[in-house]
Parts: sequence; C-alpha cells; structure tokens
Amino acid sequence: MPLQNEPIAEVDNIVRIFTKPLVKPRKGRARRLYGFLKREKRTIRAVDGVSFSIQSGECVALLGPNGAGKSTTVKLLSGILCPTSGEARLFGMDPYRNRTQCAMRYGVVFGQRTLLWRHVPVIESLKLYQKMYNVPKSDFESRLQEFSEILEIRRHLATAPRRLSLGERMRCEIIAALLHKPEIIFLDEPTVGLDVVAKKRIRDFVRRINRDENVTVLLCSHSMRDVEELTDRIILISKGHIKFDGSKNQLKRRWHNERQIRVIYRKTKTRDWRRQLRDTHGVTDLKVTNGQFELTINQDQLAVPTILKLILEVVTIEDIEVKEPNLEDIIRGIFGEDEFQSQTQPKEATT
Amino acid sequence: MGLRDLSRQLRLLSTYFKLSVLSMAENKAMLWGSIFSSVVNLAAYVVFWNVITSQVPVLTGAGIAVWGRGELTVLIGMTEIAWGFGAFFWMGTWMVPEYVTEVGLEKFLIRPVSPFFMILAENFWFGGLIQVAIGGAMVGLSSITFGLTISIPGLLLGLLTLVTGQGALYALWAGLACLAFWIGRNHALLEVADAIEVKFARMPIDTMPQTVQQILTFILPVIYIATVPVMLMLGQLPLSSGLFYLGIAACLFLGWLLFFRFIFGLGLRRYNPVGG
Repeated sequence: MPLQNEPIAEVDNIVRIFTKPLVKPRKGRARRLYGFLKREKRTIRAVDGVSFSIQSGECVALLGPNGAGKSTTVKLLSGILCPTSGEARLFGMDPYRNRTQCAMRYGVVFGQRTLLWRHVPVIESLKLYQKMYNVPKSDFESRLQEFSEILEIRRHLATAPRRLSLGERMRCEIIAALLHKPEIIFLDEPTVGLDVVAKKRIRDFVRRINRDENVTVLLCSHSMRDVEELTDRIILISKGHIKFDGSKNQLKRRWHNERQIRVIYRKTKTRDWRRQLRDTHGVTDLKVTNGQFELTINQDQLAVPTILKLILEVVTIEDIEVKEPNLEDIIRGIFGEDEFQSQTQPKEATT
Repeated sequence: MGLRDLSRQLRLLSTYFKLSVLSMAENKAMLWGSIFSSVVNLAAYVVFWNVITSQVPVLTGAGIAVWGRGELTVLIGMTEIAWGFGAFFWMGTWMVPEYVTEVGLEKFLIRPVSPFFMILAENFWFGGLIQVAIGGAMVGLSSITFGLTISIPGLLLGLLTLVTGQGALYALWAGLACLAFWIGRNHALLEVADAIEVKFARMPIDTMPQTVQQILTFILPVIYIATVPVMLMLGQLPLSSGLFYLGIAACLFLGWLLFFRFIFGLGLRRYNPVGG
C-alpha cells in the first residue's frame, strides 16, 4: 500500500511518440513506385512532456478533445505502452517493466471495448478473473453479491454479454474491473452510449467505491455530467500538453468569469432600457426576446448585485435566474467550439 | 516461475478450457465446417498417396527408412496428430496480427498474466482435438492393417521429439506473427509458415534432396513433426540417433523461443494502438 501523502500514480515529463504512415499523393511514376516500395512515415507526439501526480483516494478527470493524449496517458500509466522518454510510476513502480505486479493492483474499464467473453455467461468470465487475481472464494462471492445488488445485474450474470444491452454489459464490465479490490481504477469513457438511467447508476456506483473503499479513480470521459458529478480535480490535456490541472472551482474561476442572468419582465420602466443595460461597463451580451432578456456579464468588471440593482431600476421583474457557468461551456470555451463540438455527446436530460 | 505461479497457470488453463467449451457450444456450425474441410483435405491427400504407393512399392529414405504404404499412412496420421495438437493450443498465434492492428492487445496487457499465454488460452480450437483422434485412428489402423510393429521406447522418444520440434516450430511461427507490430496484418507470412509445416511435414523428409533435408532439420524444425517420430516409432531409426535429433530439436526450440521473446518484447515497446 502506498504511504500516506505518497502519490499512487505519477508521470514525470512523459513523452510518447508514435509513427504513422504518411498518405500523400505523389506526382510522377518514379515517385509513386518509390512510395509503393518505401512508405514514408510521420511522427506524432501523442503525449509531450506531461507531468502530474495523483494521491490515493483522489477522483481525477482527464479531459481533452479527441487525439489530445488522454487515453495514451492512461495506457502509459497502466503499463500498456512504454514511454519514449520521461517516467511513469504506479504504486512506486515502473508500470511497463512491472506490468504484472501493477495489474494485480489496478482495474480498467474501456467503455468502447468489452473485456468479458462475448459468448459465455458473465459469471464464467468473472470466475476466470477470480482465479487470475487470486481472489479468495468468500471475498469473491460477497463482493459479487454486493456489487450485483447495487448495480442491479444479478439476473444478468447467467447471460452472455452479447445478449445484454450496452448498459447491462457496462455494469458487468465495472464489476469485473473491481472484483479484485484494486487500489486505482482507470475508467475510459465508462458511460459512452448509455441512457441517462444507466449513466446515473454507474456514476453513483463509482462515487460509492471511491468514498467507501478509498479507490482512486482516473476518469477519461466526454460526458461533462460524469466529470461534474464524480471528480474533484480536472486535468485538461490538449495536443499532448497539460493545459490545466486543478479543482473544478479553480477551473471555473480561471477560465470562465462570466455569468448569465435571465430575466422575465412584466413591463419596462424606461424607454431606452436596452441601451442602458448594453452600455453598462461589464455587460458583454444582451439578447432580448418576447417579454424576456438574457444578459451576460464579466464578473471581473461588474458585480452581480450591481447589475441586479440596475435591472430593478429599468424593468418590473416577474422572474429572474442567475446561471452558473456549466463545465461543458467552459471546456468548449477553452478548447474552441470546433474542436469540442465534434466530440461532446448530446446534453443529457436531467434524471 | 515458482510452483505457486505454475499451479495458478494450470488453474487458469482449466478455466479457459471450460470457457472455450462453452464458447464453442455457441459456434457449432463454424466448428463442424472447419472439421469437414480438414477431412476433405486429408482424404484428397490419402487418395493421392495411395495411388502413388500402389505403383511405387517403397520409397527409401537416405538408406535408413523404408516408406511403404503402411509407413506413409502412419506418417500422415502422425502429421494429423501433430497438426491437431498445434491447432488446439496455438491457434491464437493467428490472432496476433488482428490484436495488434485492431487495438485488441490492451485486454491482455492489463491482466496480471503473460499476454501471450492469454492469447493462446483464449483461442483453443477444438477442431484440433478431433484431428488428433483422426490421426490416432490412422496410426492405429494402418499399423494393424499393414502389420507394423510399434516400439514403445521409440514411440515415447518420438513423441518427445514431436512435442519439442512442434514447440520450436510454433515459437518461430509466434515470432513471425509478432512482426505484425511492424508490418501490420501479416497473415500471408503465417500462411507460408503454415504451408511449410503442413505440406512438408506430411512427406518423408529423409527421401528429399540433402539441402532440403538440412534446412528442414537444422533451421526449420519440420523433420521432428512426423518423419523422425514415425521412424523412431517403427524402429527404423536407432534410439541414439533419436536422442541426437531430440537434442537438435531442443536447441532449435530454445533458439526460436529467444527469437520470439525478442521480437515480442521489441514489438510491445513500439506498440502503436490506433485511437483511444
């Protein structure tokens, strides 16, 4: 077990370079023939000098657009990949060189790939993992019973994964990753493609094992709801570099100091109320529709009470709402609309 | 590897075996289809050799072995046994290029067990065991029909040589499969290796030109798959020569195993999974 205050996982200036074949049209027969015989390659720095550490019991989100280097970082930490340079340490060991010892102590869930046998009942795959991880039979049975009741999959244990829905299968995958009491769990998009009920069930379960069993969680997800609800700390990664590492509140303060105020009004008190609001220093946007308007202010320049006072002077209010910036908007703002739009999931409905 | 690890691996192997049986029960059509194709393939081969040997009474191998109809049938039967065992245990080797190129290797690399052991154990092929039974029946029936005497020490030494030679052959094969880390899907390369094993092993290699014999003895471990075991089993090769061949097979096994481990280790270092 790691000592108190000693990081359970850390990467220090880690770099991973991939080579990929370069596909580009060539002019001239000789060049095309040469290209056929010898493929040109390009190198990609998937992770480029990333450093961070995770303490035992933390719940950390690794966020970034597609191709940012999140999954590569997780694979470097779990010993699947060997770093080109720099150092990764898990439980104080090099995870690539001590892959077997490290694998005994961590769990992994890949949302887009199954780790269970597709054609045989789930329980048989779980029994295989019991033997693989040397889990005593009594521990295996008690944990299986506990987890399957919480995740409500008891009746699915005798079914083959290929006959299960995605949500049911994913819950089984999570149980498979946790049966051996891992100290850290890597969750790579655990809720991708699931409905809101299944997502909530999984989020509640992950929160529970993090809180009750002190399991450290490293989450890669494009679902901002997962991140909002589960994690305390966010690491933003883009083009292989870390862009931010801190708490959710720090992220909001640093990257998003805007507030939106939505007002439904009964009547206006002044004729040029729109100009009065728009010209106020610190108001960055005003959208007026039938009987209501939405105001965006920069909190560094204008305090919420000040603008509320002004609003009361210019309109008679029926309803008012001051909106906190949500994480998805912040992340979209950081990575840019285009980069982010392609990979976020549709917003979830509230359960 | 300690005793505890060994017992864990054996327990895992039995669980994998059980899972494979359950999985096979879901894919019966595929199993029977592949068995049927193997039987057709084998039947064509037996018919061809029957025609040849009915016109040419015996083939002499380097002045030592005498290959009559009975001996040749035993040889083909022995190849089936070897190939059946190989197909049962080593079928996973065929999957390596697939796993490497389709991001399937992760699921083996996150487990506290050798990834290659898991690849093999997840891909047991039960059609192989049926081939072993067919091969065994061919050996048994032909030795009765043609009145061949089987020497027990020769049989034991022959089987040991077969297992060692096959280990060497599949270590080479696994090394070739791991070239997928560099060249992607390399099934064509595996097809060549498979052809060398299946096509050459079924023939009495000691009747071939000297250079081919030497290649199939000292570089490619093909002679140990059927020719040497059958010669030992039928008492056509002295046990001392059998021990010599066993030694060479063991050296080849070690050499090709090192080759495989080197390629696999190097490949893992440059493993380049596509996408998240």
